[in-house]
Amino acid sequence: MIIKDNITRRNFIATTSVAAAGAATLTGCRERAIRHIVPWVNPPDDAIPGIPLFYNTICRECTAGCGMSARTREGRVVKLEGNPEHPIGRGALCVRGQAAIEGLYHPERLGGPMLRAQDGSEQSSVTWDAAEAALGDALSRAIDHDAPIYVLTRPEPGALGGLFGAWLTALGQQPDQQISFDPLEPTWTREAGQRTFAASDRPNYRLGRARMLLSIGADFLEDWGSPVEHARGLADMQAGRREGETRFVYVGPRLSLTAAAADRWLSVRPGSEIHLVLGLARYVLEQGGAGVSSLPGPAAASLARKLAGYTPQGTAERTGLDASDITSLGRQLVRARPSLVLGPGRSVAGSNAVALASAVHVLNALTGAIGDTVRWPQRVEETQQGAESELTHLVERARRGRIGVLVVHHTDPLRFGAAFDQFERALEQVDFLAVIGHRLDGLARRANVVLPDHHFLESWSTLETRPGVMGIQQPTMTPLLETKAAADVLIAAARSIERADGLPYGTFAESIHDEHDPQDLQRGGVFEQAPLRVVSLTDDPLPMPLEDASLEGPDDGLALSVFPSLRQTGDGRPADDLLSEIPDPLTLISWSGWVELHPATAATLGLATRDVVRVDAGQRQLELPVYVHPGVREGIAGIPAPFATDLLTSGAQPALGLVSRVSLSKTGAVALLPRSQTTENQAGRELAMTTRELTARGRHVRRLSMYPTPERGAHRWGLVVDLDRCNGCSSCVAACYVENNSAIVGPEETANRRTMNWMRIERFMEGSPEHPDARFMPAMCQQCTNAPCESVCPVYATYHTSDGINGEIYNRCVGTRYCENNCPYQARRFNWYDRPRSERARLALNPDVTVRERGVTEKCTFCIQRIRAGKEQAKIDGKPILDGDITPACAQTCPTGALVFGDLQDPASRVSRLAAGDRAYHLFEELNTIPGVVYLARRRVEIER
Amino acid sequence: MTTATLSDTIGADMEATIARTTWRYWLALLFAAGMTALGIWAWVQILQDGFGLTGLNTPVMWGSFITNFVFFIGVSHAGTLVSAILYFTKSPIRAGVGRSAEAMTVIAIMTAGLFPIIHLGRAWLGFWLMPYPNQRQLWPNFHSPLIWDVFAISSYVTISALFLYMGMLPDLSSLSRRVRGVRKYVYRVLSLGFSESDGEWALFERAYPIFALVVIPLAVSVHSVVSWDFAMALTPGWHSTIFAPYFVAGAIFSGVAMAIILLSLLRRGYKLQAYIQEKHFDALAKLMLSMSLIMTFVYCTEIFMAFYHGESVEIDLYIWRMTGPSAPLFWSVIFCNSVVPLACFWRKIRFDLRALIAISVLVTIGMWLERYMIVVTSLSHGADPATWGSYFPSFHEILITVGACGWFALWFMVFVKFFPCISISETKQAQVAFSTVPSAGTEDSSEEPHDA
Repeated sequence: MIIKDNITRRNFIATTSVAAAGAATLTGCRERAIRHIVPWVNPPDDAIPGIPLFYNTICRECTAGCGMSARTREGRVVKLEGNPEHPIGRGALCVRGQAAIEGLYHPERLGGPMLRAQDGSEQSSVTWDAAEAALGDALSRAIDHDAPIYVLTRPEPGALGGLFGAWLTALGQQPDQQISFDPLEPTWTREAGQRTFAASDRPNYRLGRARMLLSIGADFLEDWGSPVEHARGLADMQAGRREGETRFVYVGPRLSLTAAAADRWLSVRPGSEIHLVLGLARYVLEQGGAGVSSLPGPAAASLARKLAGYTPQGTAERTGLDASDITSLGRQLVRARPSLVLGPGRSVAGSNAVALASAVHVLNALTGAIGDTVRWPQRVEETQQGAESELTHLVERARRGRIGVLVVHHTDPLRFGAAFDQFERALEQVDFLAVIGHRLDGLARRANVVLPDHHFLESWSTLETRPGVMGIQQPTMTPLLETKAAADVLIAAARSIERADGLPYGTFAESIHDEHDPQDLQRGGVFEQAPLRVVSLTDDPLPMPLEDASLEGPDDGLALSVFPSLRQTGDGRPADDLLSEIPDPLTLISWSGWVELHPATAATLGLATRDVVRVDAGQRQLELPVYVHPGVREGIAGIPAPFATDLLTSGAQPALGLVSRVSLSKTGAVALLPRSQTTENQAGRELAMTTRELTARGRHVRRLSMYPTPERGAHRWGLVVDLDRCNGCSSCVAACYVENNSAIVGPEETANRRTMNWMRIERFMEGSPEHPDARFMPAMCQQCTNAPCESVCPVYATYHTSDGINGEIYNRCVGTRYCENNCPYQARRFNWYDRPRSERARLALNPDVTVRERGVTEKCTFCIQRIRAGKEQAKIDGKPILDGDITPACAQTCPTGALVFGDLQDPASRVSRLAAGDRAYHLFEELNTIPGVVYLARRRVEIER
Repeated sequence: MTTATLSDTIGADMEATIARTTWRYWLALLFAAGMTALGIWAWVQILQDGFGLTGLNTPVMWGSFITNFVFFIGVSHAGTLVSAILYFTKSPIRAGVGRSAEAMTVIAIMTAGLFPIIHLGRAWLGFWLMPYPNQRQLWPNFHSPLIWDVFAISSYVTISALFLYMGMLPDLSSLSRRVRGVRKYVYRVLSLGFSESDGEWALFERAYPIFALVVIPLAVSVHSVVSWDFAMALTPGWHSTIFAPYFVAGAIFSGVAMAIILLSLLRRGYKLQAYIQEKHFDALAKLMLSMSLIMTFVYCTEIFMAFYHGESVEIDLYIWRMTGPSAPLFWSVIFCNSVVPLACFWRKIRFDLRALIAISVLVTIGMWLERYMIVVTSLSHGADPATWGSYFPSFHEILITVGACGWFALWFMVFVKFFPCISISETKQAQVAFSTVPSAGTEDSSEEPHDA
């Protein structure tokens, strides 16, 4: 109709005006989007599109509070890295920290508040004004009816916690109505500290100083406070050691990641750990440990009396160890100065956890570790924080009457299983439930009002991890969605009923921003050396009964050990896609939970890997697939914590991992059980080697070739992988995924071995079945000098750069996959399908890295985009590239410094020096590929028995 | 019988294969076309959704497609090679088997040539493997064995097709004189005006050997190049110098087996017992037997070398191949390729067509499995144990394989319908030269063995 053959003046004008109106309308629709293309917080004067800007903040994925540096491009966070200036992470992040970006752009994040209609039927989207008014109404109703108002939060030791307290005060509530809920906190350590040292706060452990480390089930690489800091400490302790200089012994039911890093893994009869610790304490007391002479008189007398019965023989009998093991451990604790005993961790914490933790404290006191490797910082005045109380407070109150308003902030007790039956009942007493969170799941579905919060990368707060370490959480980008900071919502609600006395006048953000120096904001926190305080043993440090942990359930059942996992999220929510896809480094399982069984146990029960069993804990049942391997004690059923919550019985503490016995019965079903690797050991090949094996083999002749040495440019980039420092934590893998826009493929495709990871942690279970030795080997493209992949590519899609990297031009690839066949390291990945990303997830893509199309191969390039950026920067600055200027994502985030990147052609660089050392070797040297990745053999200390 | 009448009889018999179209032919053609359609459907699915539809995965990046490729290249082999060798040895059996063997060669390459394209992750960019001036300012990588493949196969298909066509010129000319209608013109154009004058015959006799001479080394080189796809790679199980003779021998072996199958079908379907004689099958069976012995020798050498050079990765692979989960595969290959053909030592078997067909079918399956074993087991058990895996063809891959067989059969049927499947001129020459006057299809001679 519009274009006719005979265009008259009239219909010309009509047509063009319609077109113009259409164009104007469409432009109007797009306005918002255009406004948000470059969504700066405050547009920085020197911002240049294409140049990343870094904002320092803190990670809120767990309570450790590592420093984080968010790399932003054009106003969007594209990668999270550690903040090197932060004393806890020192530039490193764990796998959860690396994956945190996924939560920011998660497609399920709520974009606005949801309000349940008055009749209680449906939740529907409303405006913020309406949501705040509804909350205000509920608050004023509660105040009128004298019904209490509660705030239930995740641990918020910082400004936000303080604000919650102030808010409750402003509303005329008691400060103890602020409840900090941390179900996984090892409360027993606090309680034991109170009993043994009259110090209920958490001490600082200095693993790096210890010469002898004994962990009583403390899986400090996975959980237990501060994994990144402890991983670094352990690596420092183990670094530079020669055979026999330091020792790390792990006692626990299972060869955990932490146990795998130890020189020796011992397992005792489940529940009898306390006897071992007391037996060792007796031995150290007798043999005169470093701390014995300085014991206060009454404590010494009390201990001498109580420990007398714990002879090595008796202890051996009770624990199932050899007496010689106990004396040898004791001897090492006496000799090594300083030593450090950690524990108990979740996998051994049971009914006697407090006694066990007290025994550990006592042992530390006897060996002289207190004040050296275990130090208590000076307590700070609790100015900002409200008096936080336990969940039981709320439950008790609910039993007595109605609760007016319950504000739940980023937590969900119901996710921690049946243990919170009482909470479930308490919820029924709540008149108005306001949930502050990110997604419409769990508790939020039951809420009267859901108030979506900014992500921690979009909002302000502070977090005082421990005295002297106050991280500032600051926004790294403009909020992605129409969310609102939790504090501001509460303040607005209080203002709406005119009860905002003592609350900030402006926004919460302004109050924090104004409180801190710009330098502190830039650094990401205020870090000081906290003064220490001296503690000494109380008169009766072991006042409680010292008995075995009792296990509920059938006597003939297996002891259930619930152990912490890298995939554990603090709020109990199931791990998001990236964390689910990255395999558990020890079992190599992804996307699934599992029950770990010793081969002998499995044989008795007639079970094999992938069989689905019903785990029966009396009141509760659960179905999980079995994984059989020698890294778990006989008679134990190990289940990773995130998958075991359904087994928690009423009244149980989710933080305790060793409380029940379970019986297993085969269901007959067979699970998919996706695993990244289907083999268990290295089939006698020389991949992950120990120094002894390397010495025994001798070094291959490096250069023996008929061909001329390839021409080189100014650099030869290389990566040194120190197997001695690598503990398998997989944060490098997560960093690689995020940095390089690698696709996530899901459980079925993982089981089909089609993951798109450029980097993997290979795990080889070496050693005998009695003494399994789990070796981790990060494997990525080896950037060969004589690269087998390059010569076979018919279209030059893969080529050699002048810096010695095997580059890949994705657009040139036609997908013959010959390169992948010819790679002895299997470092290449093929795009089997297009993997569409959600609109939001696309914002997280690193603009420096191409998103690969279906049908092309891809691989690690040592983060060539970072190398390019570093070279360009050096060129702009007119300076040569210095060692350490360029770091790939994997090396950047490694908590232990196991990955070192640099120029192998520069003899002074760290990589060159490490590569020249005795421990250096290449993978498959006999193939003469001359890789740019150099492995350093693991030093393995076998403890004399 | 005079030479003229003899000539007429032969011509009429040949013409009959072209002119006589039974419902059986149509049914078979329809069946082959259906199989082809299934394969095309499966490939379109893969093009649409991605290679995830195959059973391939991270260690095993090549599977049934490459197996099919090598297999059909192998099948293609015997044809031209056998035909050319028989030509030079002036063997009387060439007249009977040469043409169909050559046709089989060309059609098998047409089938094989599909697979490198099908197997590309981005098949629509397959032309990037060709050297042509382009805006990318890039030649293909001449280091890559895949580029050698491109040249080897395109040369082979060109020469084989020309060899086939050249040999058909006299027949096309004689056909153009025998048929009427449009066909007459088509055959006349195709015969390039060959008028069977003495001068033309002289030229023909001079030119034909040139092609025959070029084809022999080419056939050897083509399969050597195909084997280098594997031998040039670092993959244990592939990286071996024996691969070139191994693949050439294997190619002739499977080619002969396929020739036996096709010839027996032709002979039966078109009652060509007079032309494709027992002695021809006997000769082919002998060739198959000797190739089988060579294959057995190569298998032993390959395994011996793996152990001899002492590389543990290689030794592990061979032990695993023989004893691991793929052991049934390995032992079926040995059974089909090394044990079954030994039956051809017995003259009785060589003259028992049914037994020969059974042996040939087993050899064909065995050779397919052998290629499958080489491709798949080597890849699934590589250098790094952490990356070991397994592979089984998916539904889509099986359909494409079925489609390829359909495609092969389809073209062969089309060929026999349009061109004489036995050289008319050579048969005439042979009949005259050796005075073995056939009874022109009236008498089934399969009962009494002829000794060649």
